[in-house]
Amino acid sequence: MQTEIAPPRVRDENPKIKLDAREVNFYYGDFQALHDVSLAVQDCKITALIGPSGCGKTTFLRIFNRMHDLVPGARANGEVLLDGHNVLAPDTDVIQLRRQVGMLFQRANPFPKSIYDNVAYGPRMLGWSKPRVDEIVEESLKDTGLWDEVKDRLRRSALNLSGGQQQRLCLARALAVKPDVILMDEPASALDPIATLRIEELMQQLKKRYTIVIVTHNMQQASRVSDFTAFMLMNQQRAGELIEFGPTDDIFNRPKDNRTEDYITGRFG
Amino acid sequence: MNRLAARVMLDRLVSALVILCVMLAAIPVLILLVFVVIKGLPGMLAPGFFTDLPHPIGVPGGGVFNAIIGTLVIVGIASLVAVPLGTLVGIFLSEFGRNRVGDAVRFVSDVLTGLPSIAFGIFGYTVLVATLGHFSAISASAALAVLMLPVILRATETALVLVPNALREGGLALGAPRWRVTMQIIVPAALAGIVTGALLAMARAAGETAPLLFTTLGNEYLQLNPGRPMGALSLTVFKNALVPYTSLQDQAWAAALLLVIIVSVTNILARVYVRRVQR
Repeated sequence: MQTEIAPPRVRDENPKIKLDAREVNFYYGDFQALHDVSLAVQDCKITALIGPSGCGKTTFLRIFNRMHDLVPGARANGEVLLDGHNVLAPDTDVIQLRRQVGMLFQRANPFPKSIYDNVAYGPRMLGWSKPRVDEIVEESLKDTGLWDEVKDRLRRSALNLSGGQQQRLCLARALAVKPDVILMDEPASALDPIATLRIEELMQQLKKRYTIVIVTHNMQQASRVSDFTAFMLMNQQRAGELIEFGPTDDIFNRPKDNRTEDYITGRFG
Repeated sequence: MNRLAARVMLDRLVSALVILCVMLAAIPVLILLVFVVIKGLPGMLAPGFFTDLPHPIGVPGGGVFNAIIGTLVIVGIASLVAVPLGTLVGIFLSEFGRNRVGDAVRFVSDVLTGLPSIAFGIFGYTVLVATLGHFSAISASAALAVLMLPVILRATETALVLVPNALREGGLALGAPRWRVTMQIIVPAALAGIVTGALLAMARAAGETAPLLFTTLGNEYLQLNPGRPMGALSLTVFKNALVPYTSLQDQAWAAALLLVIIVSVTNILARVYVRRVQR
């Protein structure tokens, strides 16, 4: 089992690009779900993917850590460069990739184990020593603001936590393996406004150290939290396409494409 | 009559029907249990029932010590083989069996489930008894293991399929390999169902008589060597029930009651254990 935290980094010419998707096409069997999507995600920034249901946002997000491998018949063409290395290449070590690119899901999915065991799962798998695992569990729980809430009941089941706490626990679990990138698939869609706010505040703190890509249906959320926004839509063949991508301020205040403007102002979608 | 009243009436009618069906299903089972307890208790309370060997016909007293040991040994050995194997095949079916191989295994297991239990006895007889040249407890264990296998693997598969996919994704997204996610997250999450399936299979095996007739044959003496014929509680019930002596018939009832108790107690203990582990 490898114990190194990260592989040697091969940087792009542009040091700020963390993830670089180039002309990505994606298929579920015969159905094309993404058409020529190109998008560069900057390091230590929050990039939001917005667009109506079925436009391929989540599909696109899940390519970054090859979660689509789990779907029979799914395949992606094109390139997705993570620090210059093509994630879609057949020789990519998917296990290593997923450690580097963590993920937070739409619904909190804590393991039916104790709070401690949830966060310690990744570090233990990597064979880290007990004191080090203890340290990382505490650090990760502090990073997600959970430590003070759960420090007296680390051995209790994670399933007794509230929905918002569970989602932050899942975030702590993802942080514990020391990723570079965190993918978030509508992480707050099942949470109440206060728990949502907590997650958004956390994202602002985390972006100092991590690159975050978030899929959201909530346009206020995208405009509040993200530095960059990508707007996606289905084309005539029902394949998702990238319509416009740029700094969030530009997308929301000075969209270049009419379709972006229509969507953002609520005229459709 | 207005619509609301009609709906209330219908609601009551259906509720009553459901309760009636529950009673129809539960009452025979309860009667059976009560009957076994009433008939079995005197024999069970007779001195020496648990500790003595059977006495020759006509000699009063005697017990079923040999049969208790025999049932424990035969079902124990069968479980030792069938539970790990069945659980592993169930894991394969649920996590890696969405293909032709999986379908073939499922089909064979369904056929095995439908087979009358005497067929397992004949299997044990042909494969082991005839080959070895004599009856033995181990051939009974083999027959019971084959009988238990489909029950265990289908129960395991069903329990695992019910584990939400979100847990698999959560584990894989941390960079855990598939086998780790399966063994450390998915299987523990489904433990209650897996244990229940294994116990159900063991209970069924402990109560089987037909497969034992062809394999272990029975033994009136205490035998600890699984390579030799052994007694079993279900055989005691079968043999003593057919004999025209009331003391032996009482023993048959008592042996039946003992089987019921063994199966229930194992079930309860396992449930308590699973509940404690999952907390």
